[in-house]
Amino acid sequence: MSFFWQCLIDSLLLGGLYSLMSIGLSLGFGVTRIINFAHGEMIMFGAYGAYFASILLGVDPLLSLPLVAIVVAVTAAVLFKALIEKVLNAPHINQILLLFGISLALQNVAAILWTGDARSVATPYSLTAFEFETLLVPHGRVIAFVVAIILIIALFCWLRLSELGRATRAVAENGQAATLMGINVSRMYMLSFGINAALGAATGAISSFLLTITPFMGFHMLAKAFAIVVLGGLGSVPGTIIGAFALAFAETWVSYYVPEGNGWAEGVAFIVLLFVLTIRPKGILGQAEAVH
Amino acid sequence: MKLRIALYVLLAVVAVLLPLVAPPIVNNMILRVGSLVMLAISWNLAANAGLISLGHSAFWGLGSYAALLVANKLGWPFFASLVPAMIIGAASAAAIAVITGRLKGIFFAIAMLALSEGLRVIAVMTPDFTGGGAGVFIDQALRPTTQTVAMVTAFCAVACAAIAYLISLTPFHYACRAMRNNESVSEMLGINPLRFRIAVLSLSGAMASLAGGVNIWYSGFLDPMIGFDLHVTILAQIAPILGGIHTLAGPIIGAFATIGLSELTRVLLGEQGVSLLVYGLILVFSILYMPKGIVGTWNSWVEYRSRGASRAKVGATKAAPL
Amino acid sequence: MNTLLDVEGLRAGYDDSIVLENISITVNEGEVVALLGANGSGKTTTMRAVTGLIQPFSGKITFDGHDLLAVEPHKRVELGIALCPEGRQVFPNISVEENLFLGSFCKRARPDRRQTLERVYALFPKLAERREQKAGLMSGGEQQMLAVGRALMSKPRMLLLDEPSLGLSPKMVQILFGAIAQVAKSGISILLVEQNAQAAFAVATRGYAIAMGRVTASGTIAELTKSGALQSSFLGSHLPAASA
Repeated sequence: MSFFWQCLIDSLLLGGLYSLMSIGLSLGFGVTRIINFAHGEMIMFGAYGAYFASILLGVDPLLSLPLVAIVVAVTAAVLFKALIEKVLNAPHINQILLLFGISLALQNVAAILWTGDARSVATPYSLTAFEFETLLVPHGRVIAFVVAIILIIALFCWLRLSELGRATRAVAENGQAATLMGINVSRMYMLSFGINAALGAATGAISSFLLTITPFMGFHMLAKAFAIVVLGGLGSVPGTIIGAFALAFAETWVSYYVPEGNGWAEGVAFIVLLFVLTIRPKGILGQAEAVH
Repeated sequence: MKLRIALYVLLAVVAVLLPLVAPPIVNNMILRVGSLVMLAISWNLAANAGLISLGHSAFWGLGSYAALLVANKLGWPFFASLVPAMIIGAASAAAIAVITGRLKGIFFAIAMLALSEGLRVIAVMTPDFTGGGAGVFIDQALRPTTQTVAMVTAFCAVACAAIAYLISLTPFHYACRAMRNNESVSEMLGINPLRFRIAVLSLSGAMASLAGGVNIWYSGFLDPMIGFDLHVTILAQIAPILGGIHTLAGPIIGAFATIGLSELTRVLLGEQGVSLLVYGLILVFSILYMPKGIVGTWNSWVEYRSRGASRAKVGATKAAPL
Repeated sequence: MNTLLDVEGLRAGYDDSIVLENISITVNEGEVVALLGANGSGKTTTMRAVTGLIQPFSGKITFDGHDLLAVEPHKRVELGIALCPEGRQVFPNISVEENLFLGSFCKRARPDRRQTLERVYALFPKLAERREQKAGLMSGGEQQMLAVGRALMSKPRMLLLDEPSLGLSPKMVQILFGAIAQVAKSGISILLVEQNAQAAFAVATRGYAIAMGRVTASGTIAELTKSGALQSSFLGSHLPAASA
């Protein structure tokens, strides 16, 4: 029975992380209608940023997170302006391939700079845990969960309550009408992309003390983020949260109850993805049109 | 025109027969280029119908595993093993076509990504079947000579090119363009998008799987990382884009160019990571400044020169669609 | 009278097709000017060129002395010119009140937006009733009121209305145009594009008849009705002036 509670808690904690991992992607898509295939690399650079801040400056990832997020966000915004803006009205093929190319280039810049060696940040809380009877709740995971939830709530508040947040929502619904309101749509695109990057980098910073850091870690997380966004519904930010927790539950459950579940859990995301595409491409709360 | 065809046929025959007399180093090149030509043509075929595959290694890996399994478990020889490879490639491609049905291209791209990653996980988790993460060797007794494999690779590459050429002569070709630009228009023209997608993708999948199936007999060893290697997916895209999507010669020229580039960077810079970086930069550069690739840009330049006049642009400029 | 909007020799279209051949119209301060014509005559294209949703091939557009073509589209509302687009184009998943707030996004309109909001609610009480509702769930008429209200939130000196009566019941049209008349009375100049000539005549003082991308007639509403120029522009042929 305690298996059940352990599974539940692990699912929740993982769900928080997955939410943060995919919500930036979802927002970016909702506004610009471009799927950011370089999303994984934003996470990766966030992780490396936190890692080097820790190694070179002795700063804990939680403290370096804001700075790392901002640096990655600004860089992403510049990249957007320089390269991606050009394909905003181009056919999907161009967009997909451009971002894939950027992703590839970034992965290998990191590989060249920092080699493929796996790294991780050791913090005081990476190895300790809360213990209630038979339940083991790692401190690191709880902290990651809390940070993720804080950031997500901050995002929702910004979207709901701030002037620019409202403008962002307007652009996501109707770019032309937004222009008529005096909103600089092209700048809003850049802003959304930057936020996408910031949230990705934040995910990376938290991951730095939970997972191993390699230049290619982003690809796998990207694939999962896709599964989550499709499951929750392309274009729906709340849907993404639901999708994230759904996947987290599915993975954790498989990992606990299915023989050799740890290995199979990695494949759950893709089965889910293909399943959703077959049965209900719109996803749980999807709004974006799936069919031609 | 006839002279051209005769020339191509001659080149093809030379390519297929070359391994009989060439040294191993050249055979190795033939194998690499031949495999990539097949992958590139395969990818280009799907791209022609507006379907961007971000997981072409799925087919490659399936073909490799299929050939390996029938060889090791059932004792099938080289040539026979290629048949299941092609079948499984076509079948899985058809399945994905059905699953992504009428959905927009982006879903297909994501589905392919998911397929290649998912298959990798399955390969790792079923060691009794696939040898698992440790990998497995192909039955040494059944292995043909390197020359044979090289010849077969060249032959298959030529065959794929010929098929692509034949397809371009049929209405299939126009159907592709219609599909690519506007599905509802193509429906009005009487083309059934779903059936069409299934046909195109099955062919594309079969080609890529064939490439994988042939390749395993050369390399002799297979594990999930090699079979469903991201590198394969990347190469399958770079070659046609560099050479020129939606053209016939593009994938072929692109395959040569890509291998050439890979060798160049390896000789000059020695690092695997650099060549991948270069690939990424090529992709970015191509999309932004040379969306038609080498062949396409060349064609446009020739056309421009022969026309002699510049067209006045009316209204907003559109990004050149690939 | 002060000329507020001056369009000269406008030539515009989409990609390779030309919709406007040569359009010249003016709107003076305090006027309500109607652009009349059949479907496809170029009325909406004219509106889009003025607000910057499309770039014209040639011609000149001046607003309050500013060369509009030199001003980026999203900056034009700051100058005091607001468009209520064809088809309403409200933000469907955003509430009525938030739609209105978005209307006052530009810097000039933000400071006293609460007061402007109250005035819009006074003009359209239905909107006040439904202030928390998602705009997409409202009826066509209510959405049209929202679109007009949203444009008013930017405190414009000139309001462009593109086919406000489209898809509305006669009762709704009456209510809406009653409100438009009130807006005109408050001193805001209006350029109105309408297929429903009757509704347009109720509020407009001057008009232009447009056909095939050109102005075929202009004058006060009385002059236009008398001359039969409207019939010919609507029917697309050049009939001699009919005796109504």
